[in-house]
Amino acid sequence: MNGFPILCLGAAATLGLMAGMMPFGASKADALQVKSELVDAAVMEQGEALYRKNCRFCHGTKGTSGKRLAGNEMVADAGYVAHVILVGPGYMTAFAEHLSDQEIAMITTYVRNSWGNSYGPMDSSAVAALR
Amino acid sequence: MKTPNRLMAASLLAMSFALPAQAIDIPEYNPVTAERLANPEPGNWLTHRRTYDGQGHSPLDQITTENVSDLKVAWSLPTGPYAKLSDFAALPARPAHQSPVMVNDGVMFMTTPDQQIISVDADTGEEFWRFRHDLPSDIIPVHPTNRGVALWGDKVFMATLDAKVVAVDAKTGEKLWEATTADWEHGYYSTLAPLVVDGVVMIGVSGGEFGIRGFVQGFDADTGESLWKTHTIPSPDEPGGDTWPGDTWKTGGGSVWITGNYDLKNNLAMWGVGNAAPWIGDMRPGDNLYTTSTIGLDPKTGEIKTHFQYHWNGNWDWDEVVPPTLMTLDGQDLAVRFARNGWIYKMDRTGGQLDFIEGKPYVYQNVFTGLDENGRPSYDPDRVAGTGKRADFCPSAWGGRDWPADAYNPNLGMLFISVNENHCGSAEGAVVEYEPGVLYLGSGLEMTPTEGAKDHIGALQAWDIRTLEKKWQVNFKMPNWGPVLSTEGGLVFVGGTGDAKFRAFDANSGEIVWEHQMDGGIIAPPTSFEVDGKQYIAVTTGWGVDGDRFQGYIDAGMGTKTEIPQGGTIWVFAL
Repeated sequence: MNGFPILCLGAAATLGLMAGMMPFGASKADALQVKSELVDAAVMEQGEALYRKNCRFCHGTKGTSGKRLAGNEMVADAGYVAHVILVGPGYMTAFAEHLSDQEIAMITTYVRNSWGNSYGPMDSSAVAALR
Repeated sequence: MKTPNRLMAASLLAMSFALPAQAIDIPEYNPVTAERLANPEPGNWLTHRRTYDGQGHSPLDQITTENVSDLKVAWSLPTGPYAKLSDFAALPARPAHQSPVMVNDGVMFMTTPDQQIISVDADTGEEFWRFRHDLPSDIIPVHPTNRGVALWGDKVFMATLDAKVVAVDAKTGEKLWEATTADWEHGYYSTLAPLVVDGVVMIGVSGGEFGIRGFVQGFDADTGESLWKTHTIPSPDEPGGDTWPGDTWKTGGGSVWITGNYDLKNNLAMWGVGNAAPWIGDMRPGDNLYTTSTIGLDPKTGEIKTHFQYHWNGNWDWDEVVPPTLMTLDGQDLAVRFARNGWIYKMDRTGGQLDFIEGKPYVYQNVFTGLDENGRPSYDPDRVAGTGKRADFCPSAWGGRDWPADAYNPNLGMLFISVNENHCGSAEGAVVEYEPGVLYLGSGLEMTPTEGAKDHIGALQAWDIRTLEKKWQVNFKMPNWGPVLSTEGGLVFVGGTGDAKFRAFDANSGEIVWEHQMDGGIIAPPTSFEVDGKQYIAVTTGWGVDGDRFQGYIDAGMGTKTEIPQGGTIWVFAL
């Protein structure tokens, strides 16, 4: 296959890790863990819809393709997840121009609280601060 | 959908596609026959590389090393307006023009990345008609491009990003039939130009990155009826099926995204097969036939008659989709391939086999420790990544050459090829779960320019096929993604560099004898044709997709920022 895509948090995040691109640091999962039950169900529903449209293509419905999101302690850091979505390091597409702060926050919330991840919500104002 | 012509070309509004058709029907059209494809008139370019052997050589000789400095623009035509490719705003890559302009007795055809076929008067640049294939709004094209049409009879054929083949009337642009080759939602798509042999329209499918099971499929040119479908990954009960463990064959990749060549003498359509999925070899132990191979098919039945695998159990995203260039030299029928893995393979195709003669690297490659007498490589285990095992290797996944076609001058016995060197890659496998339509790689993609990249990355190489010795090399500091045109006038035409220049080289010496600043980078194959006794050189600008991605990695590695103009214009030159 040709020099390949693309979008994904996939190896982009791998690259980020390898290049030391961790502007928000890699916090310990258990240090930041928040019960997923605290996350608004409507936000999770919207986040899932946005994830399926924008992220599933690379990361899969269960967060197990591309760079694995399920069980990945990196997603404990909400700022890191949102940053990656915004700037698209490596061969991941940058979504900053295509998704609103609220949409990125909902995707981040969904990723952080699905497939066994349980790290709590992210607010759109926190995304705005990263732009 | 058929769309109007000049008014549209001048318009900047995509909604112009909704205007009533005002196309100009072509009053006279010379049908394309088996005889004409086998022996095209010198002034015509009837198939993707002009001749079935893939030489990309024009016998026209008006434009020579002596007078090429007088080459000037005869006409140009912007290929827009374009249709929206997808509702997905964050497109993975800039759409790229990679189609040759083909010419049949003064009627030009080419395609655009948004799935249009444009028909143009080759003499004047006046549009005859446009046809656009509408894509599903939720498709995400990872390689937004199209590599051109195929011609047969009074029909024009195009393969599409949603895994279809369409046939349109060459005179009017009206759609005649459409056939579905596979489910695009499962990752199948096509970017190549079809290949037609004796009324059979053949296509291949992309999507190795999604874990497809690749295939070549043949259709009846008249009706669109599927005649056969030959998978590049055999099932367990087929020859080669024992090279795949368990169910890995079902998602084994092996895409076919560059048009095959046709060995007339042996009646074999030679198709190149991509790498296996996932990328890391220990996830599918075995040779993994027919990935990273050339397969020779009977065009009538699709039966695999011969094959040659360039590297087994691939591990480096070096897919080998470019077919071998075919020639007869000193009475010997040869097939020569510059593989993406960085080695040249010279093969004897006498009797319809691909028998290895000789191989050698054409760029620095540190994975192979050698080839045996059958051309099978042995590997340095330190250059082979595994699941949880990191490895570095050269060249990177983009290889010594990617998809851009080489060209062969049969009089000189010389082959010309665009290469990229001084870049290496790294990989480490991670367990990946298959899901239809989702990337299935098992590894990231990393590329690093080496110290040598400060001198050059791209190059144009010229090789004497008789001796398999390099005759000359012209280096470019920037990468070179240019398909090559050779002409009887002793010239070689190539774009391919990010400075958006189109150049002519002296075939014998490599001297740059002409260059022209274009409106965008060139990654489409140049062609040459004749109308009313006058020779023309044609090429389309339109930078994007992998050339763009590769440049992004170079910039990241070197701390530079390169802006390459996109272009999107047909340019035709004449003396």
